[in-house]
Amino acid sequence: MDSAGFIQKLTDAVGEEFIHTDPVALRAYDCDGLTIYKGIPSAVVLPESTEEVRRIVEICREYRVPLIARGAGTGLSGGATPLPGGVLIVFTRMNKILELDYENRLARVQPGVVNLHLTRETLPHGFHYAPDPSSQAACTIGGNAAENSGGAHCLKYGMTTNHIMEMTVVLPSGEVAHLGADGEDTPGLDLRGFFIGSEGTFAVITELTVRLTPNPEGVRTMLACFTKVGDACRTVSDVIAAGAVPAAMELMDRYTIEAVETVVQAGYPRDAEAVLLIELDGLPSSITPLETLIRDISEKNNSSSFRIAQTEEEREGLWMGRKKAFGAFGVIAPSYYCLDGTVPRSKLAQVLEEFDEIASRYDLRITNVFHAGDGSLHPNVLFDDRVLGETERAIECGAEVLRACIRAGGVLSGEHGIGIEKIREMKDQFDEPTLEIMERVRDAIDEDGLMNPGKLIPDEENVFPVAHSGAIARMGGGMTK
Amino acid sequence: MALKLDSFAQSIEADSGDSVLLSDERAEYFRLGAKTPSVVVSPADHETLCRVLSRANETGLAVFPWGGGTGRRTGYAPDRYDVALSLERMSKAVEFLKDDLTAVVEAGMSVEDLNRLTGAEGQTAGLDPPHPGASTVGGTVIADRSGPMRVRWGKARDRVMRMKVALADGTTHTYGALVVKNVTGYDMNRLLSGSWGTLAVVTELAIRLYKAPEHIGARAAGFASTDAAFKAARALMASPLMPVWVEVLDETRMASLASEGGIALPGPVNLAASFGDFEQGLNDQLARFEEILTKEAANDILLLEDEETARLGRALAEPPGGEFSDSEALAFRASGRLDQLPRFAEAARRAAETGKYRCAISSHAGSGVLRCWLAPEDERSSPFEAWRVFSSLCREGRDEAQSRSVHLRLDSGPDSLKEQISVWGEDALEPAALQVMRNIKKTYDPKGTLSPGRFVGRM
Repeated sequence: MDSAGFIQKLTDAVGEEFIHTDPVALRAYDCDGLTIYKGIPSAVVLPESTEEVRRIVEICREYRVPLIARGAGTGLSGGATPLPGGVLIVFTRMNKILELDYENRLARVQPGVVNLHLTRETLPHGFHYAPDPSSQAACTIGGNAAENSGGAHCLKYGMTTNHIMEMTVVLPSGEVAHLGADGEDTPGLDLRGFFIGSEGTFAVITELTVRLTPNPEGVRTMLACFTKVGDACRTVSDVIAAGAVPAAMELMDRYTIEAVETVVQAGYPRDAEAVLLIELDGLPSSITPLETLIRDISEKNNSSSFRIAQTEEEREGLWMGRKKAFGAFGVIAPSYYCLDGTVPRSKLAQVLEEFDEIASRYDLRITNVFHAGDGSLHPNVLFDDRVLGETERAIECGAEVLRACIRAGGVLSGEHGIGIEKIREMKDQFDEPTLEIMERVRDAIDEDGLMNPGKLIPDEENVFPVAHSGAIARMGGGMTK
Repeated sequence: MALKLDSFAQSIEADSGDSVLLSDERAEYFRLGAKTPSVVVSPADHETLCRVLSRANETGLAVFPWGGGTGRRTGYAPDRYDVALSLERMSKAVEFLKDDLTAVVEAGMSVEDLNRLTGAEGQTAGLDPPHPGASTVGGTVIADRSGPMRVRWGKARDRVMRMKVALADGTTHTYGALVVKNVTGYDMNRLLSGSWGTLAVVTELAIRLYKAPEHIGARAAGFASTDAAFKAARALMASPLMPVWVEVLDETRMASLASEGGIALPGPVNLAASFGDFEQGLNDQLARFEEILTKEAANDILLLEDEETARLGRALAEPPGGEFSDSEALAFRASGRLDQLPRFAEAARRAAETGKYRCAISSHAGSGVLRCWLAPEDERSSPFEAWRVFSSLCREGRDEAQSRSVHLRLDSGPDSLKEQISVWGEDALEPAALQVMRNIKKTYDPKGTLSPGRFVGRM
């Protein structure tokens, strides 16, 4: 390949200032939040328009060079980690809010807009952007669409896919297409819905029209504490079965409580085996009966205490523990590996018991802090990366945890995506014909296999080697999932 | 072809023990456009259905999956039509996991039966297609037939947790799982939902349920103009209230509701919205909706209690009957931003006037969808003229991007009209997007066995 010619064409497409090829600069982009796998791209380009992205795709197609789109690189499954030698398209410059249409509850944005920035902009006008991944202060809306991100409040408001009306994409052919529409009905197959969560393997997103949600009038936050994890899990299923849909319902186990209380003193009782942080939002008149219902259910399931935040300061304190939980793990273990298997809510107690058993088999500890209301687990395998072989043991332990989720009728990933991280386990999740159709559909959309290869579907040609032991450690630093 | 069909029918009869050759009368029931099938097969289970498909695929026959037949008037006339594959015998509940708010059912179960099953536990699937007694759960999802309640519960495709399907070659796939949050692999459930039987035959679905509200109630108000009614609907949607449905109706639509459902609503243009909540929350929501209506200068404001609200909700999900359901009647649909709805309504009125039709209009005003039904006035009525005016006015004054974002569809109309227009509104699609759809179709069904020629781009 004429590398010089290739780089020159990319430079012509975006301008000299907005292409990096220097090895030192490229190193900053060698992975996303999953740091165990790394790849150095041949170039990083920072386009400012759909037309520039189109041109980049065309050039990569001409030279048969893989391309990978990256928002803020906060993903936890390696979706934005570049295949070595590929071109990384970074959306830092495409970060404008193009239109705010409150009359129609819509916003049109470029993919590099930071999730929380849109909410900050619209909040004073009575609206917000509902999907709230824990990294929302840094992650981008384009990245959220590529991964179909969740968040604590998607229990009530739905995932990213429920909030995107239309996307402008550049297809592998270099053609621009608009998927979806401003209205809810669109012609033909739901390509908008199908491309969301495809982890950049179908197209590059260059613009999005998203739905804005009216702000809730009232918020009530409560903490239910339990001496048995099973009681907390039963409370979750009972609350859901009773028809109460809280805005958020987060479960933290004893290891998490221990870590949190050591670091931030959120006021969680240290003798509790589990706490449930529950938030209701909506009209005050609709919340009040739910509050009573949830208290009754918690008490029926033997809660040792039940507390409702009386002030905004107290509410923030309760959330502080949840938000700082991942950072706090540092006080109980040097490293952790966060997974995101999801199970039916009625199976929560059963799988948590199984996680304990798996952990003891691997001589490791697993902490649990997760979105209990929708069965979206975040088991964290604690380990010491300085101990020879312990990183590998943690990875294998994680794989067992995921298989336990599958056995319970669940799935490998509820939020973080497959990326590189869980690609091996896809064969545990799906039978051969189902995996094969996914692969064939992918080939039908991207016949040259240039869109983010080596991700999502097991691919023997594009394997990412483990960068080095211990790199998994602290991967969630500052990232509260 | 006759030989192929005979051999196919014999092999299916030998396999299932059922007679599959049709009488003329039975064939007529399965008519699509000008074509009727030669054979109808009603497998009792997934495995038999896979064998039927595999044989049809090998033989080169065209197969149309058939639920309740309620969408039979939508789409292009088929290119070929040999086999109607009825799901009528696959209508059982597989598993009702009430604590997980999940119902697993065979695709041929009617929506009414699903509602009965879930309603017994105070739960709802939030599905409200027309003709729930005939509409099947599989058909509702595969056609993404979403009714007025979509504003609260989302579209039919949002309800699917897991789907078991048979491909044209008889292969079985299972997509999704019994979980409410899932980003494991591609979202095949969304790809299949709304694919109108062109990719695969769905045989079993896991449907996400919600607790049905403790109490429901509604308010309906008359407005002097269409613009005013839609403006009030937008004010409602911008508020923190959570309506279950929000509908704007013209006088003709109101008249049909009065004559068919015995529900009289104030006009000349009506905005009706329902809410579901605990008692205190419901009363609050109804009171605050009344405030919005008053502020937006509504005239008569009617309060509907539980039972009336449920009855009106069911009636709103049905298309108007009588002359509006005749074979010569038309049904158009337009979707766009909420503030485009008054323009769509005006386009419908002008289309009726120019094409010489009587027109009934109703809109899912919280979802940006307007539907109109047109009954011919006399022999001078021109379906093409009506569609031409409707489509051009819906997109009038729009730039390219805005036009693309207005979605139009012919829900029902004569084959002669379908030959002349983009039935599914695919004229707004870029060729590249349509090509992606064609590539996906070819991947799933390379021999074109399933529903050939009916769907978008006649694929």
